[in-house]
Amino acid sequence: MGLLFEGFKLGIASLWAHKLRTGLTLLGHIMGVITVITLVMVTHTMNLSEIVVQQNGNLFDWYIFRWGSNPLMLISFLIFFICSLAETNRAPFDLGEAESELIAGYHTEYSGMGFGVFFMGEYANMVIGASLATVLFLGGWQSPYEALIPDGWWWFLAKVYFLIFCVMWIRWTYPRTTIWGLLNLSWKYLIPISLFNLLLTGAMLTLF
Amino acid sequence: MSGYFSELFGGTWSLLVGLGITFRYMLKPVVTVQYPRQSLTMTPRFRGHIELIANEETGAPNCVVCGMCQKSCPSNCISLAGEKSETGKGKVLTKYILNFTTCSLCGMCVESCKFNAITFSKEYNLAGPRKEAYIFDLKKRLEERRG
Repeated sequence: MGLLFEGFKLGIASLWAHKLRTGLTLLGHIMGVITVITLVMVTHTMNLSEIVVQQNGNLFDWYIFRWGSNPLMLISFLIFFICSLAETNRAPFDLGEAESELIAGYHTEYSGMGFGVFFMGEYANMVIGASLATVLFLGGWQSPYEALIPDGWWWFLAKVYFLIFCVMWIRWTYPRTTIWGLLNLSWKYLIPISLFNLLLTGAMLTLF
Repeated sequence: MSGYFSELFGGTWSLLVGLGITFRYMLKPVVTVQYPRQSLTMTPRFRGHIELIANEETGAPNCVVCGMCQKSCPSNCISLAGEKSETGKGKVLTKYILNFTTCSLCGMCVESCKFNAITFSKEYNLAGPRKEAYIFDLKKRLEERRG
């Protein structure tokens, strides 16, 4: 929404079209939400602390490895991760920032602290996405092997840092996708797969 | 529809291969040389401007002022002069001026010298404030090098 407001403020017609395109991309991010819905169906709760507590035990109780509840948990996690990348305009999906390199994007008019605040917001968004992914899928603060190193906030930090490392790793590996490529990816692959995932989880919950 | 899954799995596999490549690069040692604080050594055949070779014991240049380098230089960079030696045998070098502004590093001078008097130096980071800084007095340079 913030992006839409900025585009409007700048008041240039081409930028408004760009905002619409960005909006469409954002709509394509619903599959991230669908993935979370799938998980909530399994956990029967939306309370994040409870979700972490449910992953107590050992490594294979983390939701990403609970293939008894839903064999596609790994895919779920991947889809969630890709969506958080796309949501934060990060790594291969940073079309908005790219356009500022061509002096047409929404970053251009801002400089100094305004720009700094934008970037801090982007990084904070990234951290939030990583934190959410570790809470939902990777077991939050649970340790994979209780006796060796006990549970605690350090595990949470370690997992968040690991996910952020993966985000950086992806950034330095892949070239930027085109808008067509991104929309193609989200609407033709991610959404059908996440909807299938949702149906599969529902089926498994009913049958078992 | 036919290519859907093959594209999906093939694409995912290629993405993972890419990640593996960058991960391996991350673990390799850094090859950046922090230039002014560290410097590279040039390879043995590297051609910097020519320099005089001195006799090991006496410290005098091997040059006998035959003038072959001056004659063979296609750009007329070299000018040298000598005087008759005290022992009466041959000449002794008094001045050897290299005009590096016109030198093309062709190596005809080094090739034509039969007395092992000149060779290529390994100097690569020359910088000077004016053109005259590149008219090298090779005899003076030899004395500075010998210390």
